[in-house]
Amino acid sequence: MSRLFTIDLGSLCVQIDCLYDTTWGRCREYLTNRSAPDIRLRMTKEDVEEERARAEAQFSSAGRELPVLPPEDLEWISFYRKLGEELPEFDALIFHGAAVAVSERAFVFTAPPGTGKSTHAKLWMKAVPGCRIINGDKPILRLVDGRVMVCGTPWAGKEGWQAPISVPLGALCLLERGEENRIEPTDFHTLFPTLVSQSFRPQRAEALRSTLRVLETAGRTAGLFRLHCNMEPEAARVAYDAMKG
Amino acid sequence: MIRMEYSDNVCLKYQFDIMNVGGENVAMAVGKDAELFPGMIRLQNASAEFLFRCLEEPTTPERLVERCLEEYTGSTEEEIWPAVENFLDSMERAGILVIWK
Repeated sequence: MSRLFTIDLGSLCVQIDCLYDTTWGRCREYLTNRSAPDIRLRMTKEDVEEERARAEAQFSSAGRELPVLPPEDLEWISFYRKLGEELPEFDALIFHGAAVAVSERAFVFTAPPGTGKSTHAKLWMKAVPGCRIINGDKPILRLVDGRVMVCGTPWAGKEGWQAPISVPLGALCLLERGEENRIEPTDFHTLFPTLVSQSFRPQRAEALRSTLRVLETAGRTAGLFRLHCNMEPEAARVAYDAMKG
Repeated sequence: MIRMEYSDNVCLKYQFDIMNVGGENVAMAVGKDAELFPGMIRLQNASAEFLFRCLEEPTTPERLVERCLEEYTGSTEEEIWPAVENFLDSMERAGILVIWK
């Protein structure tokens, strides 16, 4: 038995034919009645087993014991992967970072796992009036009419912070832990390897070209920064003062 | 420096595509190889791109030098050998070079 539903992600209509109700439940804030899907994804048992095999290989090569992986979670990962492969056709990509919005401008923080993206986003929500979350872990960046939009997705990290909204990108910032709070502007050439490593990597060359095009536009149209920060409220104020432009 | 003989065979380990981003050429693995090599190689100049493209098919350091001499007329073998060695060394350190006898 399968379940068919349609969601809106960054104004893209995505139809999903899935095996498990969990997938529908995780998407329910994005459900739409729009017809004529831009993207159609069908999840199968083979997809679930493929994800299990992939996880087994990754844990094995890392010398770690494989945890219990419910098929519902494997379907969720497979859905993410399939969507990531399709999005570049629509000038969009999944980006690893926390995204907030202030006065209809999006601010995205990226960093390796464990650096404190979510913590920093939380500091913004406390320190910056009107700040709201777009996504805590994996927003979509989508090129629309020459500008990059930051869009909510249901892949929201352990905090589950997400909202079904799209906001124009204002600035993008690489977070690094530091004793003191210090922010500096940087350029696309310097930040480019980080942006690539934090973006979903599609397999097809043409999709990869589209991904790079979106990142290049983000670099050309948004402010780029590098923030050395601690976890004190001052970090958000230092960052916002510089990034708001 | 490279741990190979000049007559050893060399080739890229993965299938790459060269793309221009912000005026810079980068090589990124595509297809299934994208998972095996999720990084990228920044090709800083035209000669780096030329050498990288030469490595898409099996070749040897000697043959690479010959091809550079054909491509860059006016350059000498003494100038080209260190450049080829450095390039192969950097590719090997990046983990994307296959070397065999």
